[in-house]
Formats: sequence, C-alpha cells, structure tokens
Amino acid sequence: MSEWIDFAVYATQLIVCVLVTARWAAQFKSAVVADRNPEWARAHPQVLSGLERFSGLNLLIQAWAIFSVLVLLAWRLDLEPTVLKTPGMPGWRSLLATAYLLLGIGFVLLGLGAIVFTRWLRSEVPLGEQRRASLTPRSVDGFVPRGLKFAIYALVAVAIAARPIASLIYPGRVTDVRQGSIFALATTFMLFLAVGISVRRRPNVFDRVLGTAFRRREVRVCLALLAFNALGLVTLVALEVAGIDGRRYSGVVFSAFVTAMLAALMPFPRRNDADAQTPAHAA
Amino acid sequence: MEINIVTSSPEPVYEQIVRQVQHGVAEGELKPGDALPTVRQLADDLQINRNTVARAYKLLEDRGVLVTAGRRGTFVRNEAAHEVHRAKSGQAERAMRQTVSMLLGEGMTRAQVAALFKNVLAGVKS
Repeated sequence: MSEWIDFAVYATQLIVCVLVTARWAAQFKSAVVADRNPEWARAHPQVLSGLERFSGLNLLIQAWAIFSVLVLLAWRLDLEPTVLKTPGMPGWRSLLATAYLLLGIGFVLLGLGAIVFTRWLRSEVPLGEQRRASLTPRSVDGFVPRGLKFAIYALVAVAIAARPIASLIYPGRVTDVRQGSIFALATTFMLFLAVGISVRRRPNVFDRVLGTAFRRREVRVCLALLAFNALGLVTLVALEVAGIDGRRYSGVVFSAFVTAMLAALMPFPRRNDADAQTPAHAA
Repeated sequence: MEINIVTSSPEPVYEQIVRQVQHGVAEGELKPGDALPTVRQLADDLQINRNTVARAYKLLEDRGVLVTAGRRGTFVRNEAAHEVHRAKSGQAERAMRQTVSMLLGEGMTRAQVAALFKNVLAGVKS
C-alpha cells in the first residue's frame, strides 16, 4: 500500500476533525445564545451579528489544520528537519505519529475555543427564565434496538478478552499482552463514556436546530465507534496470530472510520433553521 | 410530554413540576406504568437544583401519583389518575369550605350562600 494513502487519510482526518469542525461549530454561536436566553438574544442583535464573524481563535484553529496538512506533506516527502527524524522508524509509523500529534494539538485548540465561548456565554448571557424539558427518560435502548446493543457489548467483551486468551494459546505469536490490554481497556472505556455522555447530556442547540434525530445519530455514531474499535482489536490479534503486522492498516482504517463518523454528525442546517429562535431546550 | 417552568414565577419550581405532572396524569398524557426521567436528568435538562426535582417527585409519591422502584426508576402509579382526582377534589372542597365559612361569618344565610353558588355556577361556562 502506498504511503500516499496513509497521507490522504490522515490529511482528510485533520481537515474534517479540525478545520471543518471549527467552521461548523462557529455557525451555531448565535443559536447557542438564543437557546440559552431568547429574550436576551432578541434584545442584543448587535452581539449576535458580531458572533456570526469568525473569531481570531477560530481562524487560528483553521490555520492550524492547514499548517498540519502541510507538515504532514513535508513528512511524506521526507522534508522534515533532521533533528525530528527518527532513524529506523518506518515512514507509515512516522506519518501516523505526526498526524496524531498534530490532531491532538488541534483538539486542544478546539477545546480552548469551546471553553472561551462558554465562559463568555455564562458571564454575559443570563440563563433564560423559561425552560422546558421532556418527561421521557433517556437510555441507550431508546436509540438502538436492545439486541444490537447487547451484540455490541458482547463484541466488546470478546475484544478485551481476545489478546490475553490468544497469548495463552499462541504464546510465541501474540506479544505485548499488558500494553495491548491497557490500550483495549482505555479505548473501550473512552468510547463507553462517549456513549453515556451522548445519551445523558442536556439537550442543546444542536437538538433544537437539527431536530430530535441529532441525538439518535450521535448515540449511534458512538456505538458504531465502540463496535468498530472492538472489531479492530479482534482483527489485530487475529493478524498477529497469522504473523501479519496489522498496525499500519488498523491506524489508517480507524482514522478513515472516525472521519466518516464525524462527517456524518455534521449536517449543515439550512440558514433559516439556524436563525430560528424558539424557547430554550427542546428535547 | 414536556415540562415548562418559569424560574421567576411566584409559584415555586417544585410546585410547577408537581402541577404539570398531575395535569399530565389527569389528561392521560402520562399513563399508568410510564417511566419518568431520573431526578438527575430532569434537573440537568431544566438547569435547576436536583433537590428541587427530588422534592417534587417525593411530593408526587406521597400523593400516590408516582412510585419509585429502586434503581429501576420512577413510574406513574396504576391508581395515579384516581389519586390526582381525589387530591383535586380535596383541594376544591377545602377552598369551598373556606369561602362558605367566610360568607357565613359575614352574615349571609345558608340559603343565600346556596343561591349565590347556583348563580355563579350558572354563569361559568364549562
């Protein structure tokens, strides 16, 4: 497999996860304000129109995404500075490590942008006096069939147990049991957390602007990631048993899947949807 | 069904929740056996203190409208509609007793009070 495929996947992931996410989130700023306090939003149209423009931090995040792709391109063309070269490291591994480092910094910047906006929102926009909430309890079962949920949980259990069991059966072939198990547990825990948060989080502006289907899609995406991660862990063990190093392929496939799932979560609303100002917190 | 609250209302928030749940039960929007959200979910969604929702749920439990089944959650009781009706009747009877006592105390005769109620009832559109 050409390393240009690795580059294309990681570059797309950087663009979608950082640049597109930053642009996508920015268009909801005024809707977030209207969601928190519709009366305040109506009384401060000049503030809302100011929010429509990209902030300096948002532009920085977008610039970071473009810079990251250029850095990745430099790595692919072996133009990286000599001090950053790691002798003996295969090109695909170097690309993977660089892409995830750049992505991590992009996520930190996105988080910073969210914190700055939330702090401004809480200090400047008082919470609306009228609030509403659904009396329907939320649980995973409300978003996916029960059978599918248990099938995913069973797959996760198999994925966690696969490496220790395979190492007992094929002691010479499956190595890194401790490290592999820690990785499996950590990724599974994080994705379980993501599923839990997507179900339990307070209804927000995305639910109001994009409709009730948004949370359903969000929960399903998180469960799909959980299932895909488990499937990937099992496949990696199977490849190790067969004597094939599957880490490169798993990195590329997982990145492509994450990118596709995130893109699926980001439908762009029609302009009049985003402008709509209804009372806060529709379920 | 949705709960709407107004934090600036003179009616305490927990009473707004109680009133709307009772109304939902009386109107059939909440049926026996229906599950309600956890205290945490409702408090988070309404952005109010959890104790406020817990207080409302406790009051509804005491009135026989809701039942909490441990970790399984909170449900509408089978006899909830009857209990809501009974509570409303009790509340109405207390208010009427108070009014009648006040009118009798002000010197009206029982016949005058009865006639007054009859007139008022005839004038109110159902």
